[in-house]
Amino acid sequence: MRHTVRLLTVCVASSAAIGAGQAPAPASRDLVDRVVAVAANQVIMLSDARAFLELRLVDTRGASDPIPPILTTLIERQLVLAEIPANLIADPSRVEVDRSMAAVAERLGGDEVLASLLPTVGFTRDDLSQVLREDLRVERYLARRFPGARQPTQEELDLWMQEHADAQSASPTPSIEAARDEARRQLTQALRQASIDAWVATLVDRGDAYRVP
Amino acid sequence: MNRGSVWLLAAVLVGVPASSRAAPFSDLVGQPVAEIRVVRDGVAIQDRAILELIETRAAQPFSLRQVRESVVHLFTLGDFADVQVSATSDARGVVVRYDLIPVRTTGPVEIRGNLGLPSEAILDPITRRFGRAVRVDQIPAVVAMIEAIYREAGRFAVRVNADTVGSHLALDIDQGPAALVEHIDVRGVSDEDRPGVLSRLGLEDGAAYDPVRLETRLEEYEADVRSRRYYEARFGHDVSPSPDGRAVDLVLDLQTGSPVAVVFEGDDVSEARLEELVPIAREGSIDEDLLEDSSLRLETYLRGLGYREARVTHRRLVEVGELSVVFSVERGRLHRVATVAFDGHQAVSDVELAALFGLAPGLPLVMSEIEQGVAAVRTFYARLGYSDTQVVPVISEVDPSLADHPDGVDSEGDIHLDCAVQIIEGIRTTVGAVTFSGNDELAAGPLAALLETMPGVPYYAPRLEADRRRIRAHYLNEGYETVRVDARARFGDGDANVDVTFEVAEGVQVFVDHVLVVGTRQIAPATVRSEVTLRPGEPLGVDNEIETRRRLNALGLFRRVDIVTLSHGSGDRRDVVVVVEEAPATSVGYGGGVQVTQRLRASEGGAAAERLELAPRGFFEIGRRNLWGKNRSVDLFTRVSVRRKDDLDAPTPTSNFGFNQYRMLLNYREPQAFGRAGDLLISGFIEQTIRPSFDLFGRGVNVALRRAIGFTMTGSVGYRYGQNRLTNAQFLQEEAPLVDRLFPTVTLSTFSGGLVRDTRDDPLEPTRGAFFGVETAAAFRAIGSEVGFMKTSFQGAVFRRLPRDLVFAAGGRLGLARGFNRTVTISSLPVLVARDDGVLVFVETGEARPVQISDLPASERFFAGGDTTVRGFALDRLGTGPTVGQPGEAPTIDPNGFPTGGNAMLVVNTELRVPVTAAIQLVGFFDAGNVFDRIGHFQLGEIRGSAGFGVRYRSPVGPIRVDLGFKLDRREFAGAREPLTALHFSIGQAF
Repeated sequence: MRHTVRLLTVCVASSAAIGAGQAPAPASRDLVDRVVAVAANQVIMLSDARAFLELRLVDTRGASDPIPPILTTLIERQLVLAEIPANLIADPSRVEVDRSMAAVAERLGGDEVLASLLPTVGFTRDDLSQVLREDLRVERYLARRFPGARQPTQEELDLWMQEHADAQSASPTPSIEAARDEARRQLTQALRQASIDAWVATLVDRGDAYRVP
Repeated sequence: MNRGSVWLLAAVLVGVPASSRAAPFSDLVGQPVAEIRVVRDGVAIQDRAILELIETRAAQPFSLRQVRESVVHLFTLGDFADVQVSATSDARGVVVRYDLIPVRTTGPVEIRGNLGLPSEAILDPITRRFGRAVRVDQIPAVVAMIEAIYREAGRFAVRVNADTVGSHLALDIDQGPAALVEHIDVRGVSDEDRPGVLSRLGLEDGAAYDPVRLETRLEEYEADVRSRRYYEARFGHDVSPSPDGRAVDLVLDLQTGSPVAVVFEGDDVSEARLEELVPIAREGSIDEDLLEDSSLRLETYLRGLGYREARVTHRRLVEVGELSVVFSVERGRLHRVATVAFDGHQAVSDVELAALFGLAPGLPLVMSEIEQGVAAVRTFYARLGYSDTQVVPVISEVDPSLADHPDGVDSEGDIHLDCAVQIIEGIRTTVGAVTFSGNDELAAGPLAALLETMPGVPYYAPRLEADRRRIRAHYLNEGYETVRVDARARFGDGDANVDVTFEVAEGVQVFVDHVLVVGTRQIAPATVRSEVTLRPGEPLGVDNEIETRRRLNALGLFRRVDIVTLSHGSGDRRDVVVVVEEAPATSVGYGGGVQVTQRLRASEGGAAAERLELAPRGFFEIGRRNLWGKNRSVDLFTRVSVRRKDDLDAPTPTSNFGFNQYRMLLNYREPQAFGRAGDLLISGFIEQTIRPSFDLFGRGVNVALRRAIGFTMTGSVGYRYGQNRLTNAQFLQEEAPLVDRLFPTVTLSTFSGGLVRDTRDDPLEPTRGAFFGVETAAAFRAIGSEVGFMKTSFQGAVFRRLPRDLVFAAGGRLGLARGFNRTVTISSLPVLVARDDGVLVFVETGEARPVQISDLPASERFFAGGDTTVRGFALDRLGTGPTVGQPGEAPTIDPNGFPTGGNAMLVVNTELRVPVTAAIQLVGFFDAGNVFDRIGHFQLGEIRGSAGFGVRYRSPVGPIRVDLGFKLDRREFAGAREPLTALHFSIGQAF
């Protein structure tokens, strides 16, 4: 978080510096793009972060400043992609990619909106297809690598239900057994996500990524 | 930190709905580009190599995608810490500015201050991780690394100050005071033993904390305790520094466990075998895995001997104050094969089955060998198309009515068993149709051409898998990096045939966009590019990437070569970034040693006698690479030996020590000369060699063109012009070839050609692979040679790794030569006459007559014997004596025992190399060979053999070798019997 705050500060400061620099430049000069990080030898640019934001490829609800979580997502995504052996996970079919594309268009308000938005973020439809294809590969790889999580113990389940009592009362279930089943499902999912997060953290710790100050 | 700016930008990016949140420059997209400025440090640049990487074009619509691609290209050059692009518009259109922020480096690192550690201990890790010039933004990481180094050395109060002084990065280090041990907590030791333990570890309250020394002492202590049968001992320590780093609290954890006794009960196994198979004492451990492995090894060993019911178990017995590990060995009776019979087979004969199975009556019956036989038979059938053949060995007691030992037990108590192998062949499956699916981009025809599985051939699953891999490799080479290929077999007609489908999920074909070269300093990027087989616009193929890497490494110009592919949004295009780190351009080498060889020397009576000679020698070489930005190089090599030299041509023969043997070689090498025809090598040389029979001074030039043919073969052509002067000939003149007398100084002009195939895993010390070479040279008077001849040398060697890391090596050399006839009219020939005092001397007769010569000069004749040929003989000692031979044959050893060399040579070597330790190898060898005056006089019966043994010590410069060879037949020359042995000291394997 601190890195990204600094990064954005530098971005703005840089654009200000450029504006006030030696070369003649009007004050309205806009920073179009720059390098913000390198992960697994792949360059991540400010325009990538903007594109993921504009095309709503990541969920940034609740984030007052969406760029830092997007940048973190982009770095982690690149590290995970580098981990996927090329021959292990087949490329998704065109139909699957088209389906993802249609979902993006729907979220944005239609295909025309998507078509008009793409050039403003520096993407072509092929570029977006590639991003979606990669996302599908990541999804498949994680499904293969983390097929499930261990079953929670009774104590863990009880603790979980206590901690999430408010959420359960907000959406009541027909019986106590059903509530326990739902809690078990959610907890199992959370345990799996925790395993994935821990694995991604090891990738980040490996030091194969850095943010450009 | 200007948080206000952050929120301002964040508001721009987030505070509005997506559809209306477009960046402020988005309305510039599509407008014509009026101007492109590329600026570095505020100064516009004109470097074409950089400008060509910018995709934004003037007068074309402004595209953010082109900006993205340009940024990636520029950033991956590695020269810029950032590339920032901004845009504005004026009346003409969009003005785009690329600001290239250079990587700031500090230059060499200087370390000063109160270090307390050798400077290399700090500099080496920094150089390895950050390079010799540290980037400014990496200085904090450098400081953190130094602090970590000092923490590991027990200095927790280290202070590091980094400053850039001129072009240097100055690191002021104050290691600070050593942390003092404030408190020691010892666990696992009684209070009485505590003082002794602390004394042994060199610890006391208030002493300086030295973690390296403490860990070493703990390891030594633990090893000592383990050697006293405390195999479960675990010694370690933990440390907690005080906040100011000046004091530490230590926790010593010394767990010894109980002493361990290893006991074997039951049937006997030899001590040596137990030591080998149960390495508890050797490894100082009773880890459960080790115990399980030991039991299993013992059991497998006994079963491998034919004790098929052998059983070995282990258990731990805890007694008061001692732990026992008890191995129970039940060997059971030895089982032997009585008969082997096969039944149920039609497609394979009894003879083939017996050969595959490998069992024979009388041999111990070993189940693992039977299992191997079953697998071999199944594989054999599978190759014939029987994919489901069942092979069932049935071991049964001997039929009492047929056996020699009616009860199945012989007088030794061994049990004899019949082995009946029941074979159910199953259905033979042949391949029907072979089809492809999913191959939208690549046609089926070329893919089918890659296959070995085709209609009508027997179905064999491993072959199908190999085909699948071939297809996948083909796709990978076409740039389909995520291709997936599955082979599906659909059986039909009661499994009599199978249709095969290769299902392909092609993925995206990736092409090379740009090839960028990063890291060159002295070497021109064009030199690197010329080796890159990945071309812009062509598929990003795996083989091309490997070949590029191989070629760049083969240049020998770089310490490191990396090939990185970068995507920049587009799914089907990648930038290929070739990152190199140049090796130093100038190299200097020097060294010295002593050569010890058994050589022939003339004794007082003139007869050859073998002596062990020591010759101190030294060499110096200097080379310069990367000449003119390319991989051209010049090397000067000089070598000199102090050796005794006889001067027989002087009025009074003398003998003295001096720098009498030397060689000076100047090489110029140009790889891929003449339009990549091959590597050009031009050499000039001056050398003097002291051979057993003569001294040879030579000088001249060589020109050679070498070309790699595939990965293992090299072809070469060459020309050599030089002059050789023969002096101090030891052999009697009337026995020497006439050419040596007529042309003691001879000019030779020689063309040559050769072919070498080398698949050895290591040229210095091969353990597998083979080497074969042939070279032919021809000298003609028409091209300036005073003597004409043609000679061909064949040589080959094979190396095989045997069980237990033994290496078997076998080699051979065959040399064949023929001189072209030349008639020379000479005014006189010296004749040997006896003086009054009885000494033989040559006198001129004054008669002029034509003579015909057809010999090769001494420098070109073949010699054998010595440390690299037949090791039972001294250097050049082999030859045929005057008492043997065919009609017209001349001896190749003169009456005094000195070799004259010949036109034909054969040498054969065999060697078994046995490792004793990691550094020492024992060798047993057998060599044979000889030298003959003419090719037609070659006689197998005259081949002389020697056998012997030697020791090799694996040193950093190659194996140091000592060999002692024994002649298998000793002969008499000049009235003296040859010595039995020859001793050789050398570096490198014999062949």
